[in-house]
Amino acid sequence: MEKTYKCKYCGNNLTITDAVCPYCGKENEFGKALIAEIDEKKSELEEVKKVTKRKIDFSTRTAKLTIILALMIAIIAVYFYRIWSSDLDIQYARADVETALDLSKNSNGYKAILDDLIEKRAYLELSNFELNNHLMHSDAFDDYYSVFQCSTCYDAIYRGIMEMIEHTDYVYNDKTDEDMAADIANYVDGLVTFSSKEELYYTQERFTPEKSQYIDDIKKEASDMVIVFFGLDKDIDLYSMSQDEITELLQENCKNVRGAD
Amino acid sequence: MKKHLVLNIIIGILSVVLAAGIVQLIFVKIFFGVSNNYKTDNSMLYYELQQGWYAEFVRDCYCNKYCGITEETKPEYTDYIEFAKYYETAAKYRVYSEMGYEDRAKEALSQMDEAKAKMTELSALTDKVDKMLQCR
Repeated sequence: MEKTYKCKYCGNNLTITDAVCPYCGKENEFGKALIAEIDEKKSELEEVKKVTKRKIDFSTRTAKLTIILALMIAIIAVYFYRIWSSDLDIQYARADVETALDLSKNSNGYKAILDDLIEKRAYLELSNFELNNHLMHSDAFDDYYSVFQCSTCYDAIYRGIMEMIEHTDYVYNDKTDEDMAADIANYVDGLVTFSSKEELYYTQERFTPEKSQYIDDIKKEASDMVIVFFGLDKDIDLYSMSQDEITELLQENCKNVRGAD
Repeated sequence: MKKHLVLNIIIGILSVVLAAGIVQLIFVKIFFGVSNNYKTDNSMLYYELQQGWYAEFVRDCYCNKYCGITEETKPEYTDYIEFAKYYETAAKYRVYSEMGYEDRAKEALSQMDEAKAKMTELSALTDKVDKMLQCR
């Protein structure tokens, strides 16, 4: 219930918010002052509301703009990183750098493995170890140059023969048996090249008796493999023939590789 | 209010673009990632066997070896590793026996038998290899 007051002029009842007496028309000073104070407080409140709203709006806009900016930066970063990551050449180069660092730190470890593989005559394993670790182009392994090249040739000859036997689609997409035989002849000739004295002089490679024996053995095993699988005369010396002669010989006999199949 | 709606829409669009970029990035990383060493996982080795790419299979097993995948570290690869040994040695066995290197042929044969004994499921494939390489 609203509290009432008496008008000091006529004595009738007034409410607190009556600025003038509704009976005598005289001013209610108390009510008038109170209304003025309420109006003032209301306007102050409105001002505070406006200021607060402005501040909130500013903060929200700033936050949203910051989010937009951050998202745009992130998108640009992702875009460039994607280009960088999907460029295989760059990735291979980076892998090579990492490998080179690893090799420089641990070349003795790699050499110990290589010497072990040389001793075991693990031709295929050595070839794959060298390829997998990018050893061929590392200065630390210059002394193994001929070993690497001859092992790679052996690996290629082995794979060539096996793939002829397997006759797999992925190899034979655009190749014939004659093409494969020509590839194999190329690698047989490669064994001669990479074990020659001229090649050793060119690479300045230090040649130990172990490596020399390894290369003689790998040449013999590769030659035997070609002779057996191509059904050649056992006494034939492939290494005394030119690449064209080997190619011709292997192409003539490539039907023997898959035998009855 | 309208300004906020516009900003919200822009944020939404940029978020979608960013998410798509990240997904694509992950895709590129997974399918086109290059490392120093080339590992071949179980499923790919199995696929190579199914396709009859045995020489490729032998190569991949060697690559795996120097990525730390051996019979000791990953016993689930034992079958594959032993099959690769068998396949490589079978070719050698044929060469040695036809060239008349008795001792080496004998040693290769015992290595083949040893590898076959360690195989489980893939031992059935050895007959196919023997026939293919005409080694027994």
